[in-house]
Amino acid sequence: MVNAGASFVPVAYGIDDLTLGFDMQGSGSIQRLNELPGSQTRRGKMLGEVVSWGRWSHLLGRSVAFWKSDTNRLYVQAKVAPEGELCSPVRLGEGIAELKRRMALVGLVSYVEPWVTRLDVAVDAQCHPADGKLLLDALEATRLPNGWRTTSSGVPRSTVYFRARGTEKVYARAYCRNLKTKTGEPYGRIRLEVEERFEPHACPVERVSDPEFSAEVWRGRYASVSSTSLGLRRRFNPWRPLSGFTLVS
Amino acid sequence: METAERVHAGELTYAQGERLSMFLDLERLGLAQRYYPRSVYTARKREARKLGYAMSDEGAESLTVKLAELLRPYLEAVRAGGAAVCRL
Repeated sequence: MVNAGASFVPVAYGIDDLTLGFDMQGSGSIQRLNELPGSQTRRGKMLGEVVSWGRWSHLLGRSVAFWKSDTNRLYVQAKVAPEGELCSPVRLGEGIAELKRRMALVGLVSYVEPWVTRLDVAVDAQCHPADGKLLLDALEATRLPNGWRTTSSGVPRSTVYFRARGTEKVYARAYCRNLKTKTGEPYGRIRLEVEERFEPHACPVERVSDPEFSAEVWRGRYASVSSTSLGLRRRFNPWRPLSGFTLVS
Repeated sequence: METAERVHAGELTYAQGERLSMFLDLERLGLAQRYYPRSVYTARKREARKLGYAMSDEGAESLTVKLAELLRPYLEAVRAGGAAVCRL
């Protein structure tokens, strides 16, 4: 009998990325934003350009910036931690200050404090691959509150999404980091991530810098699932011994 | 575990035990069909049957999964994260 969950060892917790909104009204940067090269998308002009070998290069490096000239707002999906790591909420201020510095270097300055429109909080845990697969299977099979539903992708299943009842809006996702980064054992590192969205000006950066706020955002999705103490029955061993031996895994 | 016991008892050779153990692990993870070429996958299934295994029927083997137990380490990490830990 598997001691479920015994092999999960958390290795990282924090903010994966967050999207900041900058009101550029009255800023001298508007003309520059209109002139900067970019590609028109549904979310606005994605700032950057094609460089050597046809590769796209974002204006702000790993952070993706969208300029919406109709509202004079600049949205930056900011990566505030080094690649492959998560940013502790208390260090968020440093990450945002660094982002503003990089923006200033390319001539983008806002006179108004930015606000958060999307926040991704994640926990990574290393585990035995069988446990990792089991967790993803269990999450997909679980019944979510508020009429939310689960969907998954990958064959075999590598990502599970928590979605709204009637739309494709994603509230959370669980996936194997090793499969995504193509390193380590498949299902050996499972990330449980939450996506939270906010209306413009509704969530100032200071609020997100509070560690308890990010923790509450994460718990808001997964603790409710956990507290159901849902017992699932599923086929675990695809093969069984015919006689004489009992599978004990 | 049981494969090791069978090898120790002389029922399986080391090579058979290693092949079988790997195959069963990949099957549990749902990766075997992708891992092996079709011909090798068929051969591994044939060998598993020969060595005393059969595909489980629906419901023949099952496991009760308590999601709360699987999620507990994550919840504890988030609680610790409230104390400003970046890399745990």
